Amino acid sequence: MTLPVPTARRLAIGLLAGIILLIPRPAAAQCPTWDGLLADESLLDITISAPQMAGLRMWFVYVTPATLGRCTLGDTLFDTASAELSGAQDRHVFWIGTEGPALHLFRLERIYMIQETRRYDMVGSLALDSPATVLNGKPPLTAEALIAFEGPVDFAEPVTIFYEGIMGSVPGEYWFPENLGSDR
Amino acid sequence: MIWTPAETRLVRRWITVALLLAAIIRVDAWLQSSIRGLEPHLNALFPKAARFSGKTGTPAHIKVFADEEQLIGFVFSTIDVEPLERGYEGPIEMLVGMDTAGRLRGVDLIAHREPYGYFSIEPPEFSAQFVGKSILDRFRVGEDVDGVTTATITVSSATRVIRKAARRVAREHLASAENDQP
Repeated sequence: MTLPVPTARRLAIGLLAGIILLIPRPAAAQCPTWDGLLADESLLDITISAPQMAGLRMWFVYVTPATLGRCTLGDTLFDTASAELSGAQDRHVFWIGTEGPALHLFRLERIYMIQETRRYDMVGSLALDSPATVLNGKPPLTAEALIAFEGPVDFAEPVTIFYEGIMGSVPGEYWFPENLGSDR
Repeated sequence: MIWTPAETRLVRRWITVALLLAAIIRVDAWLQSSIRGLEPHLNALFPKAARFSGKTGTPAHIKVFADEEQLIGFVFSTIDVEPLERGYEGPIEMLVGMDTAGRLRGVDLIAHREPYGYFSIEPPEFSAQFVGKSILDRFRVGEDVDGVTTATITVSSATRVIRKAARRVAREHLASAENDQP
């Protein structure tokens, strides 16, 4: 049996479309959840809950790599943020989400990070309309922002991120996701 | 008295040798002065050591010898190796002893300003849990290091700085130390 040419073409196009639909989309399929990021320490939780300090909780995700950045921020916000905050080659952008009764005391400028003998101060920031992150399983967040640091970083080693509070400093250690080199 | 050219050369040679010896003695004395006051801590970390070098290198460390030649370990201050690390109130200064296999021989708390330090990192139980730990271990509070409620930041910071300092000293000095061994 020989099919007429238009019918064969329609069948071929339909078959192709079916195959494309069956192939899992990498962005959605490979995006980690909130708990997944916490488990592999690509999401840092810094909680200020010392008795003399009111409660404030911060979460950090390194969003410079495209895969993690798009999974955290979504495509549109990632592209906008990249255009806004990306600068020098050694620019590092973190998403930060916050919540807690002491949020009125929170200042982005009090965040800095260190690695070995290098200190990185914030070189740029972008306040986001919450909810901004598209990570599945995120807790309720009151405010979100992007902050940028600049300088050479050894991705094989963690950085320590500090929030310099009124009463004292609260550090947390951030481990960069593996296989970062191919994604930057 | 007039010296012959040969005598002059000989005198010059002796003066040069004397100056070099004086310089070596002076440098050695200066290096030894860099560990003055630390001897009780060093002896506690390495009781069988025959001698300790002065503080040298980057990051700064003290070499530990079993005899004149055999290197058996390092002692370093967390403040020297990780000067930007800090706890809740400021830097936590500890002396860490590590053998040439990358295993910790001991941790000695020197100074801190942590408000809850007296019941979290000051008790000997805190330091004791690091003895025998490898630099390849995880050093995670709640996993292989005991946590202390209400002093989480202090315990985490002290643990973090021990791990980072030990790994950094190992990275910088262990490979070269292995090459030095016969």
